[in-house]
Amino acid sequence: MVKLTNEMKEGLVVPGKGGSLIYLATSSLDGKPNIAAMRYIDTYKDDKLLVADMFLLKTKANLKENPECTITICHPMDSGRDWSFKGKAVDIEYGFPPDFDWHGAKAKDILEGWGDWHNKEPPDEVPPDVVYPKAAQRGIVVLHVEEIYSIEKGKVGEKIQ
Amino acid sequence: MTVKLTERMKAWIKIGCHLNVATKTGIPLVTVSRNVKSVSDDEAVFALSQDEYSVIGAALAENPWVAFGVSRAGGIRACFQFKGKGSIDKEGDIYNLKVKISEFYCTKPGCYAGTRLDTKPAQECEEWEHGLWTDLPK
Repeated sequence: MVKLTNEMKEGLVVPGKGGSLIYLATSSLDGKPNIAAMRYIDTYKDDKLLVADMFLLKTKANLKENPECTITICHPMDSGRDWSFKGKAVDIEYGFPPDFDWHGAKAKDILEGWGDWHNKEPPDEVPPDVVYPKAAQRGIVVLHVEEIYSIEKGKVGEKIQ
Repeated sequence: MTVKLTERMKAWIKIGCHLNVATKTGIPLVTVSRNVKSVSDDEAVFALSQDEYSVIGAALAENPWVAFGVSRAGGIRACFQFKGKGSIDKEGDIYNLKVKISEFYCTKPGCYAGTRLDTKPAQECEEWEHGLWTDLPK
C-alpha cells in the first residue's frame, strides 16, 4: 500500500506555490498513448493525486474507457522530485453522485474542495502567452496511486514504493 | 500525410522529452529521455540508457506507439504533444528509440488544446506557432 511522503505532498502542489508541473499520461484501451502537461495538481489523503479537468480531451476519452494512468514530474527536474506515480484514475465531473467513491475519495468532498480550482489557486505565475483566457473546469481527475517509481537519472524505473 | 515539425519544435524537443508508451492492453508507461540524438522534420531519435529503456522496452516490443512531450520548461513553453511509431536500434550500451512522427497536437490551455497541427500545411503551421511563440530553450 502506497503512502505519499511529506516531500511528495509538498512537491505535488501548483507551481505557483513551489510545486511542480506534471505530465498526465493515459492510453486508449487498444494501446494508443497520450501525454499532456498539467499545472493544477494536489494530493488527497495519503494515496491520491488530483488534477483539474480543465481542457482535457483525449485524456478524458481515455479515462472513460481505461482507468490506467501515470503522473510524472515534468518540471522542475533538478529538484529531487524524481517521481512517477502509477495507478487507476477517474474523472470526477460535475454531476457525479455525491456519494460516488473512488478508493476512498468521495465525489462530494473532491468537488467541494477542488471544483473551482481556478479561483482557489489562480494561475498567477503562468506566462501571459500560455495562460488560458477563461477557466473551463469540468471535473477533477483522481489518481489512486498503487505504485511509485523513480525517474532520477541512472535510476529510472526503480520502484520507490 | 507529410509531417513537418517547425524549427522551434525541433529546438525544444532537443532538450529532452517525457515518453509515454503503452502495453497493447492500455497500461501507460512513462520514461524520461535526457539525451536526444537527432530531430528531423518527421523523426526524433532518443538515446536511452539501460534504466530509461527498461521502463518501456517490453511494451514497445508489442505496441510501437509512442507519445511524447518536452521535459522541463518545455512542459509549459512547448505546448505540444507528438505521436508516432517507434523502433529500437541498440548501439553499445545505448538504446536508440527512433520515433517516426505521424501526428502532433497543440496542448496550450484554452481554445487550442487538442488541435491537431500536422494536418495544417507546413507554412500555415509555422505561422500559427509564430503568432503565439517565438522563444527558444535557453
